[in-house]
Amino acid sequence: MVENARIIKFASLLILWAFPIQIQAAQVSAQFSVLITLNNNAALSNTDLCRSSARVGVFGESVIVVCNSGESVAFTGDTVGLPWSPVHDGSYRFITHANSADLPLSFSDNYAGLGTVTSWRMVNYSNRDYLELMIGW
Amino acid sequence: MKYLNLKKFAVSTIAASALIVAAAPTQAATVTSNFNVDITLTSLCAVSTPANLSFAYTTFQAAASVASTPFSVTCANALPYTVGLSGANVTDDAVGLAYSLVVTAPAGGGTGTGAAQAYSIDGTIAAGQAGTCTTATCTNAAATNNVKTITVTY
Repeated sequence: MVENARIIKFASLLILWAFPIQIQAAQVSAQFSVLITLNNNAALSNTDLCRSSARVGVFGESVIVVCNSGESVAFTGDTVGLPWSPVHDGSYRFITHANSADLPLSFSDNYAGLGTVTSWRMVNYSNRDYLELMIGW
Repeated sequence: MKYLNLKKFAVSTIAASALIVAAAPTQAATVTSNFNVDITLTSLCAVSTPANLSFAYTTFQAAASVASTPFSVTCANALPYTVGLSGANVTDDAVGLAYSLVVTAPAGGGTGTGAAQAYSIDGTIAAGQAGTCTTATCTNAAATNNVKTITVTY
């Protein structure tokens, strides 16, 4: 009797091994879409720091940045008169004569303003050497 | 004499009747047969179709854009199941914004209760993205990867 039970058990295991029961998981699904509306910020003004990379590095170029508040900020290079005129953030380029090969230094700029010199370089323009100071606030 | 015989007959009759009444079987015989009620239950799950997930985003916006859409899963009592979502972390191929989607499960989610269980899909577009747009406003209507599939496996 016990032997028969063992034989039946062995046969059952053998059948299960030879013909494994495939349990297929059932699935049900639904679909939806992700809709995105992108507002291009290029048409808007930056509400924080006004920045512009336009014409940077061009000697004597004037760059005007209009901020969201309507405040105009001018970055002027080789201006005469008030090179330390207030600016709104960013940096300011101030050039003074460092050497005049044929012409004596006619005057020395004595404008002073707040800010930190962040870089300087010598610039030769129209056969004259200038000291360029890049100052940041 | 005749009266005596009648009396005997009456007594005998009454006695016989009493015996018959006393001997009458009052216990009914029963026979029984059993059978089983066999039920084969094919357990199922159903999932509702969620509304579309809508985002509004402005280039370089400082805060993340979030959106959510609900759906429900209804499964047989005690039936275990899992919920999957396709395309959960992609960059939209129309407007160039990367977003992520997660499935938020209710308490007890993953096991059927016989009633609808409320789920939601929560989406996030991270802040500071540029996106791709040639005009002031663009939509991703032309995207090829914006259709998502919820799959319930049980």
